[in-house]
Amino acid sequence: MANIVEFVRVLWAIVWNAMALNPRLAQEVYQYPQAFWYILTIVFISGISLLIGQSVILFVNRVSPQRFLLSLVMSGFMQIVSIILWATVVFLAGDILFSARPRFVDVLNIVMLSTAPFVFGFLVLIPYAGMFVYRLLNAWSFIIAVGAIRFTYNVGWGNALLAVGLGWIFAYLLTITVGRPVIALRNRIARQVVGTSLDARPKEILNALMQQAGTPSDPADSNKKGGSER
Amino acid sequence: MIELLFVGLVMLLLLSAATAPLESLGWYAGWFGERQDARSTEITVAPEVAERPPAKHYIVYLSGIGAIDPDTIPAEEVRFLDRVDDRTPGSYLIRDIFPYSVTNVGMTSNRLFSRLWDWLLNLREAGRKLGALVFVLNIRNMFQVAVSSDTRYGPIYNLGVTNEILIALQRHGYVLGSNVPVTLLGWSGGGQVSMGTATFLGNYIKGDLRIITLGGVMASEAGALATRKIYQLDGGKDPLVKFGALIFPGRWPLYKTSYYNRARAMGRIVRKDIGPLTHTGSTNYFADTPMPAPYTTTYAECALDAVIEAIVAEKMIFDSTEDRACGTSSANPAPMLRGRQSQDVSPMVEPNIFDDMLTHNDRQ
Repeated sequence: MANIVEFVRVLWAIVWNAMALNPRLAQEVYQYPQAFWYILTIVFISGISLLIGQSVILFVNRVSPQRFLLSLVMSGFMQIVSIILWATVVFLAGDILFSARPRFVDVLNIVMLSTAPFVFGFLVLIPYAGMFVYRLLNAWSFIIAVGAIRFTYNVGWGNALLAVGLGWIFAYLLTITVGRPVIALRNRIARQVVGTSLDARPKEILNALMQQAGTPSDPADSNKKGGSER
Repeated sequence: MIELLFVGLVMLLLLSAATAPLESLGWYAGWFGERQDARSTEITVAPEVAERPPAKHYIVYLSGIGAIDPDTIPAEEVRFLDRVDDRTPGSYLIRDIFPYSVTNVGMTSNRLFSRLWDWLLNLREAGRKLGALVFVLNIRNMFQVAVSSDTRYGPIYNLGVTNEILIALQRHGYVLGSNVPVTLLGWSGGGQVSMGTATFLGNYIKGDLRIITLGGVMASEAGALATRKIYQLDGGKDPLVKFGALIFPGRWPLYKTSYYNRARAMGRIVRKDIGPLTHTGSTNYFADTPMPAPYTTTYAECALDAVIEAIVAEKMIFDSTEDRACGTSSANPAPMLRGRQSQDVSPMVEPNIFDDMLTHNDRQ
């Protein structure tokens, strides 16, 4: 029991320091022998939490409670895979752009740390304010990533931004080119776990329900303005 | 210690906000059993209803966020509704809907915190001041109002409450497809639920749907276009009404194509400042406190007059009461009716007194 409490305490300390943009965090983490596993746990939890926040997609597709739980676990693992891929791309971009040569595991650690805000991803569920929370968490995560890259490669904000940006572009190019089979495999696994293709979207549900009711749906009104203008 | 308590409270608040949509989402996903579709399910009409003559008009009351379950609404609202009932002959008033649950299950029935709600209900019914505990009660329902107004959850939530309204209507003898008009009377957060459910209800009942909101806090909903007329009856000293107009950008004049603004441009929304009423306290919409001069009535009567005027204006009932507009004398009409004697507000002669007000408000 004491071990679990200690584990949670350390986990919370890492999340807190990452979110507080503590510049020494990356350095301190490197010195901590089991840091990698702690950070990996944070990534896993952030994947689960973010899916809880966006779980409306599971509910509108009428996923059963068992499949729902499985989807959460899968989301945790998928978050780990995504972060490893992104860290690889950032590492390669850093290799090209900068003279510093950090170890891959160090870059992986800092990219994983940037997922710390998503531990609060479940707050995206909050009605009306949820989408704002989602954007806030994304921006926070991005700032942590840029700050950590800056520290690791000992470069300015501009160069750090360039590395993260290039990493993002490389990752995007990969997903639409050689990465397509990997994406297809991921989607296939997701379909198997969830038990549905997750085709239904909340807005489509609204339109379908409104059409059933006889009220003319108005994509111009709902799509252009979204939740914020209701 | 105080800091820890504060952090704990904030976390609790965030957690309860985050879990607010789960009831309606779980209902839609079928997690709580098979969903009952009111349109295809045979609803048993209550025995006392079967003996009554058929109604020409139904009024469905959707209470504010102070409601705890379908049969227990605050006493002052009960008194108010009794008066509405008295002044709307030929209409049926339905008041056993809990608008903050997709399954019409009250907070005291079979829920995780039902004991807490039960305790609060007992305190309230014993006439005890709830103080800060009112916040606990209101916050739960306030989050449900937010669910109703959220584009992600709103359609599902509003569909669920629509279903419950349809069940209640049929239980009170309403025949689907009979074209008998229905008016939703939404108080405070009930205004949002009225607008949200109108999206579906307006077409399901195949009749005329109208909405009257009292101190309504609501977003721009598609229901505004599925409704024949919406009367927004607001107290001039009600800050929550102004807050509602501020936090929902679809109601800002800037977004001319929002559902709300389109309905307003079409003349379907009539806004009326019904007097110096507040949202809470001794000068609220249901308070039997005398109003200051030049008014000669109570705040509750003032709100009641406005509601009846709206129903009369829509020709749902004929009301022979001449002295309206917050009960001011004919020689000293209320500001909104200045320039016209109150006896001119004869409903059958000139039913749409609100149209003038609409024109007046739109020019502002």
